[in-house]
Amino acid sequence: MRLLVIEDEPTLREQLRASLQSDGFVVDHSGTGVEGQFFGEEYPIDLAIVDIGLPDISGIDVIKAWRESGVSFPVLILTARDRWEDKVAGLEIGADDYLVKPFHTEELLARVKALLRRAAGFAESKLRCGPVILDTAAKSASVNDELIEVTAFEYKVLEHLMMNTGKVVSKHELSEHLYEDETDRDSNVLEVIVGRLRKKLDPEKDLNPIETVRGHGYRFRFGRESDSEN
Amino acid sequence: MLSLKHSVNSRIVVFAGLVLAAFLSVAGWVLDQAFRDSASIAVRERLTSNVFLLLGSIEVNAGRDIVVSKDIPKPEWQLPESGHFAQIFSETLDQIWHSRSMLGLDIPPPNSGSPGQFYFTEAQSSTGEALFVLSYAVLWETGSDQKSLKLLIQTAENEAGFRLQLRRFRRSLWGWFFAISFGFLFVQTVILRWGLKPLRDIAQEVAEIESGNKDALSGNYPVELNALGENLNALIRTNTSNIQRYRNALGDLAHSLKTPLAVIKSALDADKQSESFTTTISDQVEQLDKTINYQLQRAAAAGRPGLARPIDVRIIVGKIASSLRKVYAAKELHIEEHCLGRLRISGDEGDMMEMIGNISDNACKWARANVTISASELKIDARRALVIEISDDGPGMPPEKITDALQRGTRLDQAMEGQGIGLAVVRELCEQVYQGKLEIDSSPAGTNVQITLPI
Repeated sequence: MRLLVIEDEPTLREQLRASLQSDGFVVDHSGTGVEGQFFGEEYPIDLAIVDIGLPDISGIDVIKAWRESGVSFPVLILTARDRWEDKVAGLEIGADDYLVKPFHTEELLARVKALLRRAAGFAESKLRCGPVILDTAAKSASVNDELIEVTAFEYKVLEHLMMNTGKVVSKHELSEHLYEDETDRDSNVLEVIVGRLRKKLDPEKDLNPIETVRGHGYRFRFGRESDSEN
Repeated sequence: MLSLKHSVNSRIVVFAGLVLAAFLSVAGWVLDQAFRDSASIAVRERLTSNVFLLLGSIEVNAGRDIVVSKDIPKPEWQLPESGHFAQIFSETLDQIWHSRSMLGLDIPPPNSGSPGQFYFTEAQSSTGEALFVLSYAVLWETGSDQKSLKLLIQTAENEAGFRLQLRRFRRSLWGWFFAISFGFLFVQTVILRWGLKPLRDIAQEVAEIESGNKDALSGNYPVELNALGENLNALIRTNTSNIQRYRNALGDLAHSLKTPLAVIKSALDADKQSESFTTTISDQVEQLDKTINYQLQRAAAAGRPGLARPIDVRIIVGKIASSLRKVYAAKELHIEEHCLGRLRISGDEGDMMEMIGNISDNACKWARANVTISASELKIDARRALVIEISDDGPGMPPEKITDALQRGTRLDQAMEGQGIGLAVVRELCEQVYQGKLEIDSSPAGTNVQITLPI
């Protein structure tokens, strides 16, 4: 998952970036509204964390511009303003959640993950797609209730595919969302990872959870089970 | 009767009334005097012609005796008590002749006086009758070789006629003056009503602004009220912009204080080295944060501004509810809104959002599945009040927490153990700023918080 952090205070921005990265996210960051808005429009961002009190334009204006141009990823607002009229204004303009400074880093992480799950259509921390269950809190995966061993990077790939289950995910997109550094992006490595995942998820070769769409990319085959369905 | 200080209308009416009264009094007095003078001149002229009439009826015989003709063409002199009298005196003030009408009464003789001079006075007869008296001394030529005879002719007339005329005049005069006064007062009332209409219009427009039907004064006023109208409009504008300025200033202050705090907190979260040291700093940061929040919230309370349109509580409830649905989407709560009636209150939108937002947020935090926000208008002791009720189906608040929250004057650090500042802020806003009431009713089945605010 690729996150965007827009925060003008450099130390805080750096701290955010570090904690998000250590939790497995790819983090883009900016210290100004104009640049941040551009990043949000141009990069394949999954979620943005936006500080309202920016030096050039207000974070509210950035979010407003995003929503008007069709950018739809979830946005979490960070701000010192604790008043309800500010919270309401931010949420009305298109933000999805609101966190007041100073905050506990754990709370930020929890909320970010909740927003990502909600955006992908999952309410709980467990993603259920057919026989495959992904525990986003424990960062583990299981098939038919049997825990399987996955590396950190394999987990990331599986998570992204399951979050976008039913949709075709190109290798390019995968690499953009999962790689920090542009130089690391190598589609061959991804092919190997997907191959290994298939072996781990489907040793009997009867499930075929990840299918290859020739010339386009990969698709996770099992639809998610909605919790509200009986 | 309105005190002079409290009514422009009364001031004008009273002073104009006084001026009118003074003017009419002076005019009345002057006219009265003039009439008196002219009436008494008429009397004098009558008496003068009487004197000449009498003179014309006198003859002096050889023995220097006065003979008065018996056929004086003045019948009043023949009738006793006619009110018209005549006398002739000698040089030595002995009465030589008197008219028949003087039977039984005396009129004092005049002073000697120089011949050819008329003396006009008032006198009283021996019977107490008030009279106008005219005296005339004359030198009668008797012959070329004898000394002239000095005679004093006196004619008199009863004042009764004069008095009657005067009375009639006065009655007429004052009657007309009263009529004029009433007419004047009536016209004055009409003029005042018409003249003071712009003031009533301004008052009306201000009332409409306060009831939310207008935003500013229309400005179609007479020159004298223009300044007032413009000043009122400027006041309305600065009122609203001032509040926003203070809020912005506070927001900036919050930003500059809290960002360093956020950095500290973040660093502490990341650095798990010395547990107790970290805990201490962490706790203090927490406390600092709460204090800043609380004081900023209190300072940001705007209260009820004058001359501003009332706020629509229904819209505020709607906004809070949709915000909470977003924020608590993961919990999948059923958040219901019930708003009855017009629900307008004079106050600040930000303050109202704080009150409803904080309580509703608490409700959502603790609720199992349902939160209801309702607002309605009630009449309590003949006063209209806005009642906002927020209930949740959570596990409820322990009674100690409720008493803590509702206790007056608790210091922030005592009351805030393990609790957010939300309830304290709401209590302060509700009770101190809006003179309302906050009631909490809680059981393991749920909590119900009620805010009652006078409209």
